[in-house]
Amino acid sequence: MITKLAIIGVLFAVVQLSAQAEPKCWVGPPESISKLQWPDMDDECIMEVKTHIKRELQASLTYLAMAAHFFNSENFRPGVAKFVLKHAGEERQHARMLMDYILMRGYDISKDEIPTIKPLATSWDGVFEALNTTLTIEKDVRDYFKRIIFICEGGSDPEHKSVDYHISDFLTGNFLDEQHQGVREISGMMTTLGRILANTGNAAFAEFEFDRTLLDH
Amino acid sequence: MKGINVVAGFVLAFLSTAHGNPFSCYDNVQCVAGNALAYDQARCTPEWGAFPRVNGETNDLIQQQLKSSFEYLLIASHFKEWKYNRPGFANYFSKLSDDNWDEAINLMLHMVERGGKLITDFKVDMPGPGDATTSYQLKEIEALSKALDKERRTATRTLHLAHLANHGQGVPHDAEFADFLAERLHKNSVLRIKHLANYVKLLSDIVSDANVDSAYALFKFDTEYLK
Repeated sequence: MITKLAIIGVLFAVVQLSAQAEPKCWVGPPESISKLQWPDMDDECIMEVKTHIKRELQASLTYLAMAAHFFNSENFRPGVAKFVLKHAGEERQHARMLMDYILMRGYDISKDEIPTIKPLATSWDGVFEALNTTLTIEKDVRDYFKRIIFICEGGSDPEHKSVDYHISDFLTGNFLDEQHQGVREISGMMTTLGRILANTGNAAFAEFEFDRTLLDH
Repeated sequence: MKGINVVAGFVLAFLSTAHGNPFSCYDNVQCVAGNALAYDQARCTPEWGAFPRVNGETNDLIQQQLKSSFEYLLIASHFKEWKYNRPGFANYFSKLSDDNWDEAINLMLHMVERGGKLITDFKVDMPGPGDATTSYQLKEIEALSKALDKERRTATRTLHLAHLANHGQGVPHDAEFADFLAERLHKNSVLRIKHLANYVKLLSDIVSDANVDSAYALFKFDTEYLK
């Protein structure tokens, strides 16, 4: 009898002790949420957005390299350098906005989204060539956004199985506007500079004077 | 033999005087009335002191900080996933990313001011999809400890660069660049590393306490303690 009571007592104590919380170094996602299936984006659409992140970071790094090149005494154009340095920070912000968007829609970012990033170049032959690179980057990014919107609105699928209005709206409002304005701005600058260069004998002086206008931009 | 020595001495004396010094900007400038200007751009750069000697190492440090910046972005993104949802950690690592980015640009601009330049194959090396060993899907304690290692590595590398700039036989000792780097360390790295070490200790303490529910402890750490 006493032995039985003792055994029951020990079992009771064991049950009580194991009911106490065990110290855990990490608490993972609870079982209760594993059944939640709420993310609603189309696979192709997500892939397009995710692939674009590294392009923004590459643009950012290219602008950094451009700024370093034009701050150097050998090619000293501080107006251009200041202009593209600002853009470098903006491109990184774009990458972050895209990442935050994907996360908001319930998807994750893996290391595939940020692989080794190289700038397009680290030296340029003058301001006109650098502006040309800038124009190409902004134009390409604009076209990629249009492509992402196209894919996310069903792509070439005639039935338009899934049309994602929100991402179209998000990209149009937050990115496309800036791209269009940027492309217009840079092409205008290229006209001004190109015109002076075509009509002057002293290219370096003309470039310098044009660059000064960018300093107060 | 003696004759050659005399000639050599004369040539050296000639080279070391104001006229004809190949390392001088002024001595390579030729402005003759009526003629076009001739000068040697390579002799007229703002390079002095430790530049261009430490250009490569400085580029390495910039690349390392840019890489840290990207890696912190990936870690922050993991904590922003709805399944993990640690907004405090996400914020903290986003800030680490921003700080490293700003410091990298700061260093780049100062390097250019000193006459340095970006190397031709400048890039930010990240572990690609083929790399199976590196993961940014980190647990809380792992993320903090990884950040601590990274920051210490960057700080040590900065010290090494400062030492390289300010020491060496037969080379100018560049106190300006060493001071610039040391001040960066003082303003940014010291407290950052101390805070990370503090957080690792605090987190390990509270999740190891048998009287505290780990889930609640991690929740409090994420929402209140980690700033």
